[in-house]
Amino acid sequence: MYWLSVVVIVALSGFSAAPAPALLATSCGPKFSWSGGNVDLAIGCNSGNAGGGGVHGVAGVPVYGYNRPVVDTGQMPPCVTTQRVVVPDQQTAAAQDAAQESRWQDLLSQYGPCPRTQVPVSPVGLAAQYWYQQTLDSPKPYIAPGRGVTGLDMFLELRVPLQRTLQVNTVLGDLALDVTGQATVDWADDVRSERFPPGEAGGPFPDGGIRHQWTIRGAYDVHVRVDWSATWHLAGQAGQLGGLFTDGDIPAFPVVEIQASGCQPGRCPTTAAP
Amino acid sequence: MGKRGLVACCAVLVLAAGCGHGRSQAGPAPTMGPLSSEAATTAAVPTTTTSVVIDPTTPPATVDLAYINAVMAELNTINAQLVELVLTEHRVSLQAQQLARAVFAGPALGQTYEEAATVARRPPDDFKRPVGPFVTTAQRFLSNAPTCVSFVGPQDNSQAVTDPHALVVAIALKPKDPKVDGAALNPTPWVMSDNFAAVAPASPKNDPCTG
Repeated sequence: MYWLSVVVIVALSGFSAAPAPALLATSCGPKFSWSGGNVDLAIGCNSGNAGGGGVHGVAGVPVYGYNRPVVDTGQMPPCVTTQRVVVPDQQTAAAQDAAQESRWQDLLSQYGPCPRTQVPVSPVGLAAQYWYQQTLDSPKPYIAPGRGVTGLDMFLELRVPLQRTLQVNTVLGDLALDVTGQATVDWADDVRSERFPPGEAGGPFPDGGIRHQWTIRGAYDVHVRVDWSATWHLAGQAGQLGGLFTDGDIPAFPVVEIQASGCQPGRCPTTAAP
Repeated sequence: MGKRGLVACCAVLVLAAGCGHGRSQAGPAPTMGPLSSEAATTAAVPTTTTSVVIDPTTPPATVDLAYINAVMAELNTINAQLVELVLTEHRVSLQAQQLARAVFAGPALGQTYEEAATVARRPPDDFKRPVGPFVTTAQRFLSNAPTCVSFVGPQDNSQAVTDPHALVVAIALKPKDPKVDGAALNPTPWVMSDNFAAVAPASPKNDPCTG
């Protein structure tokens, strides 16, 4: 794993006095912006250094360190940022930096990078950077014919494709993301969180896979959330990403009750046979 | 391994399966069952039993160990739900994040998020299913203040993992921010803010309330 970063010489006032190892929050560094499939790299760091590299501290003594990914719990949703860990020598820094690869994969598979967080230019780093910038489609739930009837299966359609492939060119080659959505429906009755299989987008009667029966007439605020995940492939590696969701509503969906109307037993008019 | 390292290994219950190897300082695992909030006293003759159910939702005038054990029973139960959810879903869903925020704060919350991500991606195979709660038995206070209560005591994880290890833990409880637990998933007014396996008899030097 290596970093898109530069070694800069900065005034590290008091830095060398810090006991080692020390954790220093960093939030600077190269920032990606994706446009038309090209990576636009902007160097914005003024205090970090590459894993295994050194910056010049007080009196020209190099200071070595690596970036350790951690979860920032002050954000909602939580996101991944880095802590700078200072170590005594370059070998340790390089070894520790390489050892963070699995940790990056674990964390970025669930949480997006925090704003201005420097992610590694590794396959997982690039895939996550691209993934968490995606604006995925929101479901547009619909239940034909626009109202429901108690006691009958009603068929919900998400009206958004839950499986697609995204592709983009990166500095490490072509990145492919196989994207899948999984719907969870709050039917607003006693079924508040029904999850359906990944890729199941529902459909109309009679084959739609997302169906529900209401038992009491009323107006129901149906809420649909789609949790998105992706399998990425880049530079011969693959992994999972998640942590994104979109949602949609059917506000006040009317469900009516239909009763058979007719004569009561024993009170039906007698029809004379012809 | 320093205190933070211990946090990384064993502090948060999510990675119970991997905790405790080579670091057990406890004696036999406690035998207290999940209803640790019930304290029983028994008279000699005739045999009568009086059970005092301790309400973990309201702190008593003087916070005592029995009350803390009742609180821990609630927190451990919610944490077991969190582990079960992550294992089932293979992801740290919003619901899982809500459960985590309901019972953890500070360093323990960050550690929970990180370990949950690891479990989601690489689930260990030694969790019992469904995952049962840890049983924590507070034996001695390290601190006891309105803003932070810390204690040390054994923790039994035999309901959670197939290969349990005896642990002695030191845990810090801090007042819960009600806004964080908007869904009121945690009925107690406390969250675990720091939680690590004690490798030496706990002393004020490694009190998580002051660390």
